[in-house]
Amino acid sequence: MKAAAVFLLFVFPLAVPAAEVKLPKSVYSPLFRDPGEADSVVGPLLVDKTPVTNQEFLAFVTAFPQFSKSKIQPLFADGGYLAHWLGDAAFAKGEARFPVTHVSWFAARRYCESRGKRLPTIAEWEVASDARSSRNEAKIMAWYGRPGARLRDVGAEPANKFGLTDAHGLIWEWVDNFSESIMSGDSRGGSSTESLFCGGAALKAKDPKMYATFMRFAFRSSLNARYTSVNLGFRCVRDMDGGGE
Amino acid sequence: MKKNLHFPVIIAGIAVALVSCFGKGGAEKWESTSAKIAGDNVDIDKMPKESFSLIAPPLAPPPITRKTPARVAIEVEVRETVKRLSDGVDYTFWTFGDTVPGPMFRVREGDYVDFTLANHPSSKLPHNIDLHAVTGQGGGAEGSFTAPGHKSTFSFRALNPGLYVYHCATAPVGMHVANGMYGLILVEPKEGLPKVDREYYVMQGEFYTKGKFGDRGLQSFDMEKAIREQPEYVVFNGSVGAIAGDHSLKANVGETIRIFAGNGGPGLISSFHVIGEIFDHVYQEGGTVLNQKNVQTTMIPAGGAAIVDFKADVPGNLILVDHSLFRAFNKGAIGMIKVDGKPNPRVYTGKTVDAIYLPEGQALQPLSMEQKAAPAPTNFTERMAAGAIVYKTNCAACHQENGQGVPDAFPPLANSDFLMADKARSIRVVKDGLQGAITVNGKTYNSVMPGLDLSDDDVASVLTYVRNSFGNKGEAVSVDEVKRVK
Repeated sequence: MKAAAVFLLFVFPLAVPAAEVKLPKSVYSPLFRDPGEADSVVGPLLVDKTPVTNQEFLAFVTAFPQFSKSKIQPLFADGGYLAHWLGDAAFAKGEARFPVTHVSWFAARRYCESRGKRLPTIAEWEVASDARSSRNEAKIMAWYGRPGARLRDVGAEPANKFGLTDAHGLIWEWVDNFSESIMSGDSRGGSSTESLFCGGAALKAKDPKMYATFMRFAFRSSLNARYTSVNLGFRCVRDMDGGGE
Repeated sequence: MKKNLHFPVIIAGIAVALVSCFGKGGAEKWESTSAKIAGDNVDIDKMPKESFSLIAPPLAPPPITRKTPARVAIEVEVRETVKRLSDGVDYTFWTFGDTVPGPMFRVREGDYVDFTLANHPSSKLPHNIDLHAVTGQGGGAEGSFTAPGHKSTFSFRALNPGLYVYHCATAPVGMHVANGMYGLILVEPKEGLPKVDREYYVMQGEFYTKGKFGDRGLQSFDMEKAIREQPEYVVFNGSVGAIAGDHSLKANVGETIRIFAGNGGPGLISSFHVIGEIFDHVYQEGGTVLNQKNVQTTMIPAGGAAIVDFKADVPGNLILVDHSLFRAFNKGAIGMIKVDGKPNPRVYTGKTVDAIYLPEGQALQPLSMEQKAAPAPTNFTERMAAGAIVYKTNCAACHQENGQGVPDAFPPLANSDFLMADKARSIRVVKDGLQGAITVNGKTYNSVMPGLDLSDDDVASVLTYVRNSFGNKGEAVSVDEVKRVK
């Protein structure tokens, strides 16, 4: 609206690598599991320290104009794609280091690819974000209690035990296999939402008191790869060739 | 031979008894109206279409007047929003239609409903709706599961009439409900409900806040309290005082009032009670059989409802409570219906006696504390003062404080020809009572006045008082005159 509030970025440093932190080899123990489903091992892995920002995403859409606000194909994003941007290459002043939101799974995935990375899996994200700590549970629960809260710069809060920031209490994040949210990938029959409603959700849960985790899984399972949301962004991960613990 | 004749008769008798117990030819066929509707093969495309207008609680949508089924479109928006829970206390409510409870829906048995749930883009969470009136997977929960910034539509046939709860059914379900995501849907029976003057929509629910009841500021949900089922707030219509004080429900004397009462829970069972009224009719648990009359308190389960009605016979403030009384007194479960209109002392008088109570056993008190009988009046002024007290205590309930009586029931003492005409008769009436038809100021009264067990001194006082009050003017009545009338 106000021209002065518009921050236009014509030149961007494509080569600045996002800070990464190392997730050591870890065990993921799912909250929801099918009979016989075992714990799995994740990592070692390099994980973006922060979610992808508006500025970083601007660099991407400039390099790949087919992912700009005006050119994105409806197949790859719903009508809310980059809704908060003021144009194909502009967002409100002061939001450069806000996490980018209103991005679809297709766009997030392509972004990571363009950096030689990928989206994390549910297991990787859950472990790296230290989601099960009671401190983070409390943080998430408090977040739901502040509807319409404004975003802020990434990295403003202390890092978690792996060195990650902003995993909780700022935005949701895309994961590669979001559509397997409730049932594991090889679940036999039944829709992924079947066990999500009413008592069903608690039946398969290891600990029915992990409310924040229920919410996160419910959120993921409500998504479609085209969807965008004001509270949904992403970060990328990179496999470490040859291990390296 | 005689014996042989008797056996078939006895056997036939047993057979008749069996038939009368189990119906004709054995067990009755299982039947239901819902199965008939489900199997009627109605052409949905030919049903007349209409869209349902949302109306905020405590108002209920108007009765359905059409006599045939329709295809009804209902759309409701889900929003996560901060609102007042109590004075100085805010809470992040998750709402249907921006209110707690959500708007009441009203359709007719046999209607085909296209239900659309829109989840506001600012929502952090996906939501959905489980309408207990829906026959189908999750009551619509699966078909309505919606991410923020999207909307979903599913359709269902209203097979079973009754009053049903709806609620969000996304995990963790209890939390979604505890944050206010519930409401009622009425599926009106084909024949409708009996017509009443007013209908209101009241729904109980409890809130589990981190802070104690009344702690100021924005309160957040407390999972531990919720799991223990120990709420800080138990309220009607989403906040303390939502339907009390300036927001009280209103009615006039003589009107019939129906309450569509629901209980969102998520944890507590409501003992729904209206102080100062008796439910004339109760459709227990929101079913369609009028199964109770004259009920004081009706139980409403969590995730259940009841339809109650009554007539407002006298003016006053009717108080809605959960009769688990600490919820009402300490947690907010209070509502109010203000009934305006003329008093009817034949139904209720209000306080008519405000007297000092002197129980027996006064002898136990020290002598110095012993009550002494009031000294007998010695002059006209004292006689009048004593008479006024006797009147208030014994007479005003029927003849009224101002002596006007009550038309057609209790004759007036004010300007009363009957009273003033015969002093001895009036003494006898007060001492012995009066039964049968009398004419007072040209009007006939046929009622009973009990004999009052008054001392001669009190009779003298009260008669002196009434003969010299309310526009009457007459001589005093002495104790001697009272004594002479046997």
